[in-house]
Amino acid sequence: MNKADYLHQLNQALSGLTDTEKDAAFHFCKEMLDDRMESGMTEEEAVAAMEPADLLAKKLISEIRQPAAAAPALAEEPVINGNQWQKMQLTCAADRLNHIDLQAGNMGIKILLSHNNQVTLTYFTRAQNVYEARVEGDTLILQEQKTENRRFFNFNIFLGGPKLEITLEVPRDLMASLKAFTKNGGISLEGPQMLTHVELGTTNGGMAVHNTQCISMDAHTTNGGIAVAQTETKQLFSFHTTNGGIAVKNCLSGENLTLGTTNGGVAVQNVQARQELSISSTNGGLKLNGLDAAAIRVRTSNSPISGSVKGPQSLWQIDSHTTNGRNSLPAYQDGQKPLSVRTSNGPIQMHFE
Amino acid sequence: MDAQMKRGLLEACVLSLLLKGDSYGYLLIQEVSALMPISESTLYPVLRRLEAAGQLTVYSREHNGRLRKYYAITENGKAQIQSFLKEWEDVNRVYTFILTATTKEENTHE
Repeated sequence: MNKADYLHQLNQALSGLTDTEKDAAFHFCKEMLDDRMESGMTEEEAVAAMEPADLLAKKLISEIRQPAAAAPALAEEPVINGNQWQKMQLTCAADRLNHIDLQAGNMGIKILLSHNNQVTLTYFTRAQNVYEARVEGDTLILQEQKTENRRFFNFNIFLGGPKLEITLEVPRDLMASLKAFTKNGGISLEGPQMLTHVELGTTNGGMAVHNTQCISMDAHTTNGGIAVAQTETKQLFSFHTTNGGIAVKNCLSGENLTLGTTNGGVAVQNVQARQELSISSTNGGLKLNGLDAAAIRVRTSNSPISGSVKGPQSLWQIDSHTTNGRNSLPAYQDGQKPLSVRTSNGPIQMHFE
Repeated sequence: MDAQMKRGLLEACVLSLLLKGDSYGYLLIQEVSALMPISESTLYPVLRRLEAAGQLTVYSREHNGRLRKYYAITENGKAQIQSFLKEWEDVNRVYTFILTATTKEENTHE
């Protein structure tokens, strides 16, 4: 058989796979053929040295798909109530996953530790709001399917039964990126230590992150507060809210750490950034204790700023200003690390510890 | 050989071959074949799993007008080799015990 025929057969036989998987497997085999021919074999000899195309494809497909992520199963008997929500559960081996992408719509998302090597996603679906979870390649996806039943009102009447929220259980050492978005629910994340890039977003819910480590974390909420504790990133650590306060305690960023809110205060206890630490609010007071970074930038308007910076003072090059109010920070310019603290209206009461 | 065990051995083998330098599919198949039977359908899933586990990385380089995929070991991969060796110390202990027990058994029944 010649190379073109063999590759054609192989390509056909691999059609069970997703495009990415199929391309990768196909090119691997094609490269084998090319390398064999380069080492002196004729086309016919090189093809003969490979396993038969259909057999090879079958073996590859079974390995790539294994262990199969269980198809989403009903977690319990469908609850017949006014909502007709069905609880579903999808489980898959953690080492299959490099990415998790959850789009939850109108439910809260709770991410916590599992007690085994599996990732388990529990979610709800119903005729008017069809949610589908699946594993595609190395990505776990949850999303709402567009249905034609848009004219139904979204009643979430509770007649008892389980709380309508998405739960994701992950092993402590899961190495994957995580995206979790919801509109009308909060997001809580607690436990995993080896996530890569984490993106969290909610419109009308709060956000709570505890005891988590990852490469980078970027989180935003519009109408909710943010509470973060015992959390560490290697790169970007960024939390933003429009209409809520921010409370951060015992956190560390290997690069920049940014906290921003428009209409809320910020309370910080013991927070460190290896590069820049930037905290800003438009309309809220800032209570910032135990700040440490290579450069610090603090901004608010119409509100007081109080707290402490890891000293001594001589390390810092201070730029501090308030229009109306006492300022405890001296205009000391001889340090190396920039410390910039400004408010338009309010006292600045910061000291070095 | 037990399939799971074979997979584990293959993974550790491939990682060890990458210790001495980056390599590519055909070269790996030849080098592993010297130790244990292997074909494309066995090597590819091993490489895929090692990449998913962050124990090797893949990159493409041009070779004679086509793109060839090269594999490089990572720090995780190096740590995995150590892990494997440690596990097999335990296997070896049990093996020795079993071997000793069977030779004793032969001796007492003479």
